Amino acid sequence: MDSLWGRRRRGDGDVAGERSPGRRRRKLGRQRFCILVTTALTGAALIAVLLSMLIMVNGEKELFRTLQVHVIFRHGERTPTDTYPNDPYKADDYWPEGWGQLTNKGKMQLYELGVYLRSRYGGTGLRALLDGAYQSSETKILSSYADRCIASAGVLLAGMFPPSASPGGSQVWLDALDWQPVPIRYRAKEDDNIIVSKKPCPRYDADLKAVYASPEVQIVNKENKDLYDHLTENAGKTYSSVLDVEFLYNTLQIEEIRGLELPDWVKGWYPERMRPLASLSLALFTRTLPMKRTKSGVLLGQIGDHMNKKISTKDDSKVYLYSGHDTTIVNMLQALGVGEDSFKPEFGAAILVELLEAANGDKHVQVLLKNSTSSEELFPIELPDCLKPCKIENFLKLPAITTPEQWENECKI
Amino acid sequence: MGSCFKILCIVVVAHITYASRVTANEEDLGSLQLVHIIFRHGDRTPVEPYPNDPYKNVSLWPVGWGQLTNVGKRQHYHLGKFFRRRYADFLSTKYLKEEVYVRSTDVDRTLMSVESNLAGLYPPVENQVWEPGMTWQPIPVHTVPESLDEVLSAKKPCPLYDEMVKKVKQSPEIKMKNEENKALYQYLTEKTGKYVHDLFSLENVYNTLFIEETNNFTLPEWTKSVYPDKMVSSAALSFSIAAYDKDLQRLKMGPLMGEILKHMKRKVEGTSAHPKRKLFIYSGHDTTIANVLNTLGLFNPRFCPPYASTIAFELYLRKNGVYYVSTLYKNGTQREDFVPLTIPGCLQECPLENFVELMKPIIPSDWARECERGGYYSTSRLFATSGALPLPDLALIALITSGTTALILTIAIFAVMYYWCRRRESHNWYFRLNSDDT
Repeated sequence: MDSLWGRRRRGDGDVAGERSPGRRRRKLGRQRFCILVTTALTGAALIAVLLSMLIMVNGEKELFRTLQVHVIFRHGERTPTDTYPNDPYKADDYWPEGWGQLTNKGKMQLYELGVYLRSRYGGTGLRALLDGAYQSSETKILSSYADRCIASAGVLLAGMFPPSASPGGSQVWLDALDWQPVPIRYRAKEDDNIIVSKKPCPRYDADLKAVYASPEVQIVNKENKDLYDHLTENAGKTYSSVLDVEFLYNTLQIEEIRGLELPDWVKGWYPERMRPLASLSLALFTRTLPMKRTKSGVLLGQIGDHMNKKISTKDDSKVYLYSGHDTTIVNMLQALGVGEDSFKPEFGAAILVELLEAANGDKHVQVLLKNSTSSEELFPIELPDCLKPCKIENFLKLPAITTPEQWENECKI
Repeated sequence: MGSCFKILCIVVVAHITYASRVTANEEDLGSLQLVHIIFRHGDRTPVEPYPNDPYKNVSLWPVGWGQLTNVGKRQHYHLGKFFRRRYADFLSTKYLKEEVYVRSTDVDRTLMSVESNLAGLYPPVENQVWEPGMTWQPIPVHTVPESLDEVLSAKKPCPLYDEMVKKVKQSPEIKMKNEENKALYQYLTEKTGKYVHDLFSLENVYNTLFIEETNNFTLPEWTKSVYPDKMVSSAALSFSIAAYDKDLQRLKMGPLMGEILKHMKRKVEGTSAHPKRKLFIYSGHDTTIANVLNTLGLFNPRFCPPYASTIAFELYLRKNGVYYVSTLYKNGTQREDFVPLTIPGCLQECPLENFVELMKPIIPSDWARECERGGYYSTSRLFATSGALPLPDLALIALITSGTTALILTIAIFAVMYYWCRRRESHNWYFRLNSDDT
């Protein structure tokens, strides 16, 4: 985390204008005239320094205008999707919400994210883009098929567009309820090559197989044989890959968050030994460029298209929300060229892709990561294939961008 | 609006079977097993103003064109509350994902309507309260893009349907109506600046005027002579075309009715993948309501489905083991309760077997194949209007092939019989000779 998005900076200092150099001049003179000149010059210099500081503070607001933002986020805290034979908590009673469902805490997390987005892009925010009212022509939502993603999008929108925040409260429709309906769309799992990206792709399947069989992964497997053996012995089923470990890690993590006591045999193994493998497993899904293109290329292409359209037609579109999974986040970072094997997104993690307009009319793209809903910290991401300032023309040439047609072609074996 | 409502009341009353009627089963109303609800979205803004519309400035419609208004949200919120009251003993107070499945057409106003409805039906209770004071919780609404949806929005391309509906529009009955309306169409075209030439374009204008009137906009002077009285019957008639006859119903509504029957069948057999499921909600349009009623044989072509109007199919089980379907209708938010409808050919409490039998002709076995031009033809069409309809190619080939086969077979049988009979005859000759002797 720190290594990648190392330059921790609060908020939005990332594209601020250059500091205009202050100039000072010291001169001692005997004559009054000289003193006068000196005073005047010093004063001017001081004002110049103050002004440049002021520009620093408000710089971004004045120099850049937000035109459009795309938010790709992971659902909130959920119940396990998976269990293991010796799981002491495999009974349905432990998970009254059902398997793989959003929990109340998860709802709060995404609601908070919505509130955050409202403050960042809302009427008085630094990035003022929306006037507080939901408009179907301005905000579009696409979710993954999973209930937890659809529900996450729902609570996020509840936080982002409470009717009471609309100008003059014009969208208040029921006095007792500060919520309004907003349409949420999704694609069936088998048709989705945008968010969950599970649309069948034979070439990708072959690629993934090759990655799992590669020396790199084989070495990892060898080095972790003791872990696999330990898990196989205690969990009650065979563990032989990083993917197996990832699933178990997720289940254990959720049980731990729930306050359930983990069995003794996990001690020393969870989380320390398992976490690196779990995060590696996520990263392996997009090990090569063709794999990145298959998993995130269409979404990246769509983002590019929407930005392009915004610039050329000045349409009403402002906010695009994509409600997905941990893989959606990791795949996208990998596709942007900034993935890391040790990165595992938190619940409610979000990538913000902002289209900004500079004072000279240039259009820039800025990518930020917000990894947690409990902190407002944003990590600016520098794209290796689109160095800052990342101009839209260069962003549109990112190697991972694909079209749906290219996607189909590249999936053929 | 008023006249449309009056007409609707007449229609509904005509189909009411009073619950108080004396039947043998009066004692055993049965226990409710499964409910299907289909409704229209709530109050919306015009989908499209006409060119000369004095109210075509979008700033007069802050939510945008074709969008649900606050009134519409409230209509559905209260409809959801009505469902909560009606099914208080049937549904859990808590939202349970196993119990309810919600589907909407892929349109903003239908998605938003059903979300508002669910806010009324399932306010969070007990441990479902996720933020104190918030009386709403997220519930997934499923939807399929229109171009892929043959079930609810019924807009997935179906070439044969398109061909057939074109013929209905050319039918003598509709042609006559267009002829009748000629002066009206001309008048509307001239006044609105929009080319009004058939029932659909007329309905479009009618609908916009209706919405502007409900939103207290003063309608232009020219409308006085035609709106609503001269337009309403034609506007309503336009709703009858999409599911005009059994063939159109089969392709337009077959997938939806088939899905509903499948749910009922699986409930009865206990073969559902979701055995706890009790409620299916379908969020659609005026056309959805009209087409379902048409398919049930309950459509009156003078009927405009109002906002939030609802059709329900309730499946009951009697103590004697008999399942029956009760079909109900709720006229938007203007009536407080469901009224029972009686499907022609069945009792109001229609035994499931009969219900299935009645629906059989309109349930396609393979919708996609039947939609291919020439892949399907209905016998009723083929023989009732011989010559009027060109025989689909595949059918013609099938007819020729089977006819040729039959001919060859006949000749073969004839030849064999002839040969065999001749041989028998020669045998008989000896017998005859013998018999001659006696």
